[in-house]
Amino acid sequence: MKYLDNEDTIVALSTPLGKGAIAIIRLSGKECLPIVNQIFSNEISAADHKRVFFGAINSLNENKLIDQVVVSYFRGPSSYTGEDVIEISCHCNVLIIDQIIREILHFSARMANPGEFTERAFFNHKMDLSQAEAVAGIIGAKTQRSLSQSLKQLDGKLSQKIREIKQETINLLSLIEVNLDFNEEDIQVYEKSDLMTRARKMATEVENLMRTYEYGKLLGEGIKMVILGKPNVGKSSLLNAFLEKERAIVSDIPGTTRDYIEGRMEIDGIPVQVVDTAGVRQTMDPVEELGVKKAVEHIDSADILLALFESHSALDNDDKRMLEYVSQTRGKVAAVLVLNKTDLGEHPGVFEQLKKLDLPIVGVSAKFEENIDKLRELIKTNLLKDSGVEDEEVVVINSRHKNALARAMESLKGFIADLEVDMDEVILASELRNVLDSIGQIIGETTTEDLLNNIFGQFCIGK
Amino acid sequence: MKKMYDVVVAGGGHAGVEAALAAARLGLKTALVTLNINTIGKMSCNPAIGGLAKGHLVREIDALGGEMAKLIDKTGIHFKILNKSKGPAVWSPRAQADRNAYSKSAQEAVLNQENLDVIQASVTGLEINSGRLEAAVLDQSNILHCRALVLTCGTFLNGRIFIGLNSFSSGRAGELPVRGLTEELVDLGFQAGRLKTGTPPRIHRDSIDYSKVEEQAPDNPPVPFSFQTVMGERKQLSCHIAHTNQNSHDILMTGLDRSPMYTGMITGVGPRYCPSIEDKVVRFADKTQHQLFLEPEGFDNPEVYVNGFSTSLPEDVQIRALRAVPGLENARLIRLGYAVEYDFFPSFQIKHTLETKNVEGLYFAGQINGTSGYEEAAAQGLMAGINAAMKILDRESVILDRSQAYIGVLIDDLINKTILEPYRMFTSRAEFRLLLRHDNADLRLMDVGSRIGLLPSSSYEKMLKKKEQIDRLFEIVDNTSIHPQVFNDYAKELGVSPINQTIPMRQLIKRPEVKLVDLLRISGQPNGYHGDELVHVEFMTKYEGYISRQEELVEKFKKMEHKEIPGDFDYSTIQSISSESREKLMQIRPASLGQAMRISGVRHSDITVLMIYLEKYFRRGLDVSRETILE
Repeated sequence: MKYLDNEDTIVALSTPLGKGAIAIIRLSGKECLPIVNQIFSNEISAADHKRVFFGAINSLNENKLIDQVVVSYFRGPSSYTGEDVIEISCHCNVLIIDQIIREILHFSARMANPGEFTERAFFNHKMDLSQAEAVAGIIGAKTQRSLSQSLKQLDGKLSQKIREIKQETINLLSLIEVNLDFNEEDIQVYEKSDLMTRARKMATEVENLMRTYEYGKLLGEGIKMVILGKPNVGKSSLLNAFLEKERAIVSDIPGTTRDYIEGRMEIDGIPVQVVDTAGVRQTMDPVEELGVKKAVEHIDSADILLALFESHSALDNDDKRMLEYVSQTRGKVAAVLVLNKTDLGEHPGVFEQLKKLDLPIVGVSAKFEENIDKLRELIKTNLLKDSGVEDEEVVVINSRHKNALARAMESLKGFIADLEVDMDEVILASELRNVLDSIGQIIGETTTEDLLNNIFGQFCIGK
Repeated sequence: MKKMYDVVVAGGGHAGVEAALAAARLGLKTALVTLNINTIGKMSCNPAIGGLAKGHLVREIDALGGEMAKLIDKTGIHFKILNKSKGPAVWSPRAQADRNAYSKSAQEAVLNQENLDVIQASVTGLEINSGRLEAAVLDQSNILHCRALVLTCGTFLNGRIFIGLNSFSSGRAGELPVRGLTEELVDLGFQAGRLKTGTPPRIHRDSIDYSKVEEQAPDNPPVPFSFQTVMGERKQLSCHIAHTNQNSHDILMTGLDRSPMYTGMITGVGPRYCPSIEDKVVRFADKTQHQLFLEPEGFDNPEVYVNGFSTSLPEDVQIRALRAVPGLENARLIRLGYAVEYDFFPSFQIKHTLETKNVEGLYFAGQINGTSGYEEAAAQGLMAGINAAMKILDRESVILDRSQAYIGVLIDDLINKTILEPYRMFTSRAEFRLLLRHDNADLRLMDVGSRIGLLPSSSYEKMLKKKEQIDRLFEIVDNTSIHPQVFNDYAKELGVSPINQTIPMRQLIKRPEVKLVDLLRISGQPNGYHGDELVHVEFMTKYEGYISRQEELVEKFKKMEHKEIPGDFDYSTIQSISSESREKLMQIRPASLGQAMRISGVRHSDITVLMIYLEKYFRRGLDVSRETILE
């Protein structure tokens, strides 16, 4: 971090991570009220000082419920930090906490630095002297601890990866700085195309790292799997076959006469939410229509689709319509074709017909729990293949890191665009310095001395 | 001899000249003490002023009312703006000087200066009373009573020259060193260290085969350094480029067993950005050649400086290796290259005014602070002279910050960074590089220069006129739109995409290839603007977004600079910070939280703790006692 900034809105989890019933996420700063109002089901006004609200936090983009929470609002200066403060008490679940914080970060808030709330409280004269003494001691200890904690969190591989990216940034910056500071005779120090290739490669790496965050999220938050198929194709039996092993709870979710059923299971440590839909089929029945609409909504938010067919009978119109649907979502959502009821035999031609789609196919018997493991395996491999992270060894799990990477990415993109149009090298250098600055927030700052060391180590400088 | 001065300056190099002139011009009774009047303003090493980032320093010195820019304008024999193919922020003027003429001009300036006495002697001691400087002691036991003493000793403090395995005491080739002063300062509690620098051989210009070297022509007409100088075309000399070869490298390698560096005779650390030729050959063994610059030293001076061939190898190796270079087969050496080792005082011991923390009234400037380069020295000399004068005159001290000037970056770095090698300015050291161009040094600093009282009013007025012109240009840029018919021919010429509707000039300038001067021309606007004015307006418009981002950072930076830390703040009471941070903070005693954040080795988490303690300090006005701290 270069400068302390007390102007912007900060957010962080204020209770310890771990087992507990409730977690408190705290925001402080000018923007906290408008931000929370965007994602909270109730409208809080500036007059609601010290009031407490029960409601839901929704994801603005995906328009889905994240958690039911209690929100308390304190108007500055009558708050802990002396600024507007909002505390969100949510259920203590890493995934929920992380989702809520990420939701808030979509707006003009940033992650708080260690001790920053207290720091602000102090500078806004909110703390008395004895408290200040205590806090100084605590922060001293806390930063030490959180430092080693975050170092631990950055398990060897991630920090190594980030160090590699940082080093490459320093290398690229060195080339430009050498040209600016030590190249009085305009000797070609680098090829633009080489710089471009290296910058793009780095951008891909940063992007991949950022993508692993989605996978990390997947690991934590889980995926949504939707089972499709005409009535009586065996959706519920399949769901039960999955769930029995997991001893999960099957719950009926009311809403329409054509209920859909939801359950939770786990595949290789990845939590999976399984939804058995009402089936995709054209209907004139308004009640059923509602159920179908709901099903389509589910399908749209699914990470993977299981399309069920009967192994022993020919494809009918319902099946074909579903096939059409599945091929439409191709590339967006992973899909596995399941031929159920293998215990009743195989209809020649069905398999052949489905094979044309070039999607993974497996025959199972949900009723006798045959081949269910193979199906699970297929689900897993296809999910990971589509997320593009199956080969990544490193996973970003911390949203602060992800944000830093996103900022680095932004500067890197700026660098590439500027390089493309032959922008002044001073500007190019400033973009790369911004990259370093952002990455520095993950693994520590880069100083001019580090840069000069690199330059003197690599280039023969000096008249 | 017993005399009373306001300011005594010890040393007549580039720092000393600026310090003495500044103090005298501010009306103070000043003495310049030098070992030899004829070596005032001498260029000990490279016969050139300016260069990347250094050129910025010279222009800033000029904007504050210093002398260096005028001296080089008078005596330059080869002017060139460096980095011209890059952006304006890193353009930098450089000039070869007529070595003897430069030094003569400096002497004239000093000898003709009112209020300034020149005394040929050396300062070997100080008289101090309760932490306050009272007099400078000269070698003949004479005493100069004074209220301020500026030490600008260059490489003379216990200077020792090395050529091969021979070494002897000397401050500069053929000149005696100063002994005893370091020891006295150490007795006073100062910490001293040792640094090394080197210089290449000089050869006779008639012994070069010019058919084998590449000519480098100067800019003509030249761009002057001083904002007051008006310069037309003038007669100049070319420089030349030669290249070493493998043969030359092999010869250099044979001398390593007689190298003072490689045999460990020299312990001082040399600059990595200006390595000796033997260092380059050893460290970059895969490079088959290195560039050498043959730089003339004057119209009437036959010496040519072999830039890039700094060496402390024995004489026979120097001659043979040099003669292996194509074009230098018959080179006649006039002077050998050598290394010099000297004492310096790690610069955490000074304040931003360049006054030492230990002794009130004592100032350090130049190589004594661990820097290298004439420009770095002159900048410090000027600021030390100004601040010594300000203190005596009971006026506010003059401290430039990092967002204002390279001089600010220089002094702040000296204080906060651990100096491990001679410090040289680079543009990459300035975090606000976009704002600190050489051509806007007048806009940035002349208000300060004029307030100090060193800047001639004519110069200040010139700057005000420039400002008016700039405003006029901005107005044109803001209020002119350009029709496709007018632009597209030009676009074709440039090879950029045409436009299909009228577009504001402001927007067109943002295209990297487009030049303001061309837009004025094609849109039929009257020109007659000075190049610097055009550069400024074009730059500010083109990079508007980047500049405003940098300006935001400046605001944040300033906020932290204003969070002051009292001079007597007791860091030992803060137990929760790391011992390394505490040690650094106690050593440097930063004036603000901003400065504390820049100190090498101070952790950020410790800064947070420090903030809290400061707040407490200010509220209670009491020290924080150990007993009250909860661990």
